[in-house]
Amino acid sequence: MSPLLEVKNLEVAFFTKDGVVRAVNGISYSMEEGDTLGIVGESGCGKSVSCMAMLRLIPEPPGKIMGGEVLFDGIDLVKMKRDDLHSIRGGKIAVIFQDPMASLNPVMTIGEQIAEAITVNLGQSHRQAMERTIELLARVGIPHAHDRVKDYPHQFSGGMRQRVMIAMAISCQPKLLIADEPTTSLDVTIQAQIVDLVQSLQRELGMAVIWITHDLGVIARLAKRVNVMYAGFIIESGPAKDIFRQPHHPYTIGLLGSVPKPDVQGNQTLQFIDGTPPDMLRLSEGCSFYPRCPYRLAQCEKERPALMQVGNEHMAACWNAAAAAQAALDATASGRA
Amino acid sequence: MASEPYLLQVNHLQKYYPVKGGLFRKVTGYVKAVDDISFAIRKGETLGLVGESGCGKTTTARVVLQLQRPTGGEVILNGKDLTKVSDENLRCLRTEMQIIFQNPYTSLNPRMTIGSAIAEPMVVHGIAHGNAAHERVGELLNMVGLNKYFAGRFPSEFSGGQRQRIGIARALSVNPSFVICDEPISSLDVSIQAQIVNLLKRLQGELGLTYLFISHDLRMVRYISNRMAVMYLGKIVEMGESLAIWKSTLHPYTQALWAALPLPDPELEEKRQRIVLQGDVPSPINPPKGCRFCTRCPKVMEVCREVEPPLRELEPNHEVACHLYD
Repeated sequence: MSPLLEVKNLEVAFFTKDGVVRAVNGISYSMEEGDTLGIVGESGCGKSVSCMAMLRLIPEPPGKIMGGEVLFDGIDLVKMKRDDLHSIRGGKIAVIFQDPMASLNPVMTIGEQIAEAITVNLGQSHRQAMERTIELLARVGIPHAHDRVKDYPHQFSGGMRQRVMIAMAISCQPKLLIADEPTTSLDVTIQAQIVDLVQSLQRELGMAVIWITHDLGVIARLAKRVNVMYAGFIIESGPAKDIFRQPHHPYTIGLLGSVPKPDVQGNQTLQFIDGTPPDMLRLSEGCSFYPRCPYRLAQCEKERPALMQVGNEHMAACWNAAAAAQAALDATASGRA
Repeated sequence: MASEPYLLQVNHLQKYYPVKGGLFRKVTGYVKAVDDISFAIRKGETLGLVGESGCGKTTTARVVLQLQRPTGGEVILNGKDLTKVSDENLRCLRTEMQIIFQNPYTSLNPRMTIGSAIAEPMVVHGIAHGNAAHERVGELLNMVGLNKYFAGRFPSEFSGGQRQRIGIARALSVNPSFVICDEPISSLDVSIQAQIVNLLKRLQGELGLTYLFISHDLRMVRYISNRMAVMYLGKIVEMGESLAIWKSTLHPYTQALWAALPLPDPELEEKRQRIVLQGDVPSPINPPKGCRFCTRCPKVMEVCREVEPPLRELEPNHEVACHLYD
């Protein structure tokens, strides 16, 4: 069986007045139907841009897809005509964004907005679409859906707006849902509700989900596979359990160490990653993490490591991965003792 | 720590905002943003204040600093009740209490070099001028881990984490004894958050600072604070030693907060018992009768909808406001 989504060497750059920002630098991964992939990284690492470029949703210019293929159901989205993309976007691939207020039309009722998506994508009549809208709103947990279809976005709370976005996203039964930091602006108890909702919908509809976030906890809760991104590269990739149990890339190790663990007793010191992420206008030819890396070798400054096998389906882009992983294991062992 | 005297005592603090409506803009009700809360912080201690948006954490910070005057209650800093001090005299007291803001992008003047931004409070309060101020800026920059030659640069040349360091340097320039950190890390990336929290911890040790650390991140609050208070809709629902609250969480809201917090460990996540709260936080204009959490509480009882539970000490140094323990 061919994979549902296959990204090969995707490269995206932005041509700004200060120079060329190389936002995504040749990333490759694939997903099967019904998979859950988590993409983790800090601001500016290219996690959102890589997914938006896949749907050709980046502004061109200044953005440009420099190369690579995105095969969805065997069709290359990069080469597709813009007009044909409409059948994919919002239909087979749906997106939910971080800020639901910015993605909803403030002067249109919630019901009209969802029904519009259904009439456009599935060609149903307005009345059918409205009925379906009410069903969907009830399914995503909006109380009194019958009355609330007539409300405007500002009459909903942040969590409820995100539910509306989810209802819109699943209205055309997508095969792939891209969730771009959908819970970042929400409170933790509301975040838990949204994560639960997406998980139950995923089981029900059998769709694949890409969850983009900087929150390692959310990833641990829902992802089967994880890509860790840094400076436009995937620097570690593998099954979630392996990455959390035995991270190999020093950046992943640092990221996991920066989160305080509530189960450690007494006075723990938080590890942290020194320095700041690199300037994307001036990426070095060596490993982008080199200046911040506690495990760097002389080789790392000049030669950029590619993803290398470090375990079963587990890959890391690091020349010194074995030593870093061992040091991380020792540190956790001494922390637990 | 327990032997240290209290630096700050807050008693029955209230802040109500009038809601106006109708043709003549009559006052039709009040938003009770902070509704009768009391806490105390010992010298050199950190009290963490946790809660979701709209629970009144930031209002508490502003009212404690008298940036807004409270509707009722006392704020006693170093033995002086700030609510009774006039605005003019309050200015002199500002050197004792400072605040670090959430958003380092909007809290620094973009047209001012960071050197003059850091020196400004010293000049305003007449602590240092000219060369002395300049030297002190260099010291402060070093203290927060920045190069002293950065003083001539503008905020736009710095990253979020660096700007937060500048904000810290500015707050510390007048040698305060008490600092409120109002969500100082929530706009930063994970790896930078840890840097800032460690910096705050180090400075506390070096300068003997007392913190009120406000955050919605239970993990960070548990990490940085000796004691913590959990707020819900303008009330403190649980307060005590951070470790004790983590070990034996008493209030159902705090339990739900812990449970909602995803742990960075897939194996633990699978085994964990989930408590997913239903619904949203009710409007503070019209809070529920009885316990304010009764509309979302998984363990709600008849009495909760009628009688408001008082905050009381259940274990030593661990207070909770809940009818479950009656």
